Amino acid sequence: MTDKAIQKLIDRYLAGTTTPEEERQLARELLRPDIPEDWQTVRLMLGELAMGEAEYDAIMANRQRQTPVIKRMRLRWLSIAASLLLIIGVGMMLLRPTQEKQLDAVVAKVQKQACEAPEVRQEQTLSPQASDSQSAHVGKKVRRRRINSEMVKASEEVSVAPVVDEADETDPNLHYASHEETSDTLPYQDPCRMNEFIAKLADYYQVTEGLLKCSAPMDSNIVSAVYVFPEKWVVGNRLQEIDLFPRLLQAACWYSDETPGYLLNFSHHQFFFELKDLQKQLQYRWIAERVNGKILLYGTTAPLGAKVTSVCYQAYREELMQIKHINNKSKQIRL
Amino acid sequence: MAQQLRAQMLKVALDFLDSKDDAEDVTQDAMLQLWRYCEHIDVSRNVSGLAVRVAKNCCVSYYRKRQVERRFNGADSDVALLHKPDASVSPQEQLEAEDARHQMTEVLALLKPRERELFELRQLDGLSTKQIAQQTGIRPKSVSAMVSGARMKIFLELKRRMKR
Repeated sequence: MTDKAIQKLIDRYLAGTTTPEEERQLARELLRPDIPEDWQTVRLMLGELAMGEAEYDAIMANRQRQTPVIKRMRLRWLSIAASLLLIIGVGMMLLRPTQEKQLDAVVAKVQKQACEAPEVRQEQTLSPQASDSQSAHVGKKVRRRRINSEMVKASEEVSVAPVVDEADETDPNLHYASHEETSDTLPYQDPCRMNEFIAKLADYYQVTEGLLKCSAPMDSNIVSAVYVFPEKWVVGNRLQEIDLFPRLLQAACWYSDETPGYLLNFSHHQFFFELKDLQKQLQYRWIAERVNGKILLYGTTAPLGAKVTSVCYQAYREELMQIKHINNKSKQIRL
Repeated sequence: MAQQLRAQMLKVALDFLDSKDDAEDVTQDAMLQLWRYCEHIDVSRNVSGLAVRVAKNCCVSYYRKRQVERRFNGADSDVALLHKPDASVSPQEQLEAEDARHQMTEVLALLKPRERELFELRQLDGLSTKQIAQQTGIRPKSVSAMVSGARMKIFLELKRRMKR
């Protein structure tokens, strides 16, 4: 665009007759360095948002001009690599004896199951196998039945359930790789990342994990953590509100709302988030709440189906409320 | 609502950045910024358009940070630097930007409330005269006249301040 055209656009901008598209174009033109003072003023008026957007569009346009050559180069390499892979694949399929193929299918299945065995309940899932080799034990039988029924429940919730018997139905004419189960439509998002994120937040705001003092009988399978964040903290010389709630919300938004057990509720004062991890058979819950000038953040991880009580959380909450109560009292006494 | 906006922002970031992780990071930043904007802005306004612009801005500042890193020989991949606000801008530029923001706030305060509202609907939300007319019930001609009045006032006042 010529200088004259830009000046004309500026005149129309000041007259209020430009369209948003023309204003975007103006912002792009004003990105150039060393512009007259009047134009700098207009740049200021357009605002940081518009100028940032203009820069984004300019970078993208610039890139689009450059990409075709690179893309063509990449495509050529990709086609060479793909044809090589195809040749190797077909060769391997032809050379492999059929029997080995079937065996591989079974081995792949078993290995896949081993990976999927939930960490926490390792002991439980192993026990039915052990009982097979031993003489029938009544207690174990009962336990096994219970676990089986739980597994059925779990399989109702997830679309993927490890099925061992399927190996018997393997079609010998199919390539072994085709037995890979692909019914898992949702990409796995580990709920544990939420805990990692919270730990990082605590580290950033120099908050240490609180000691859990809980009167309720504790289930050793349930892991809870509590943090008490200040509502404000010092940045430079100023007290600034900490952005714990937006941060938590961001982290929660990372998860697809189709994640099993997804439950999210939030406001400026409260945050409640639940997730289930069907791979590791765990359930997660996070609660944050503003209490008495502080933010109480409480996270619990428990095996699926375990009963989680809020006694510990309540105890913490009450303790924080208590502090306010005591403070008020002392003020009254002083008065 | 938050999910929808996030998806929109992520799309902008994915178009711009090669790595999905980077795009996720930028989207998180953009969500935070949008949240801050929304505390001042009426929710009924064009939040979705604003979200896209905020996302684009976050992409650009991320891109600049990357450029700065590369300039420093690519050795400095310190996470802290990357997440420091405006690490890409020199203190001088930062001061100037801060000053400009300050000036703008002062000048905006000189406008009549209605003028200011219309000016911001154009500047922040990127609405067209027609859309503003629909939203406010003012005739399109009056909208552009008022926007023009506001822009001229701001332009002259900023010019006067610059000369000082």
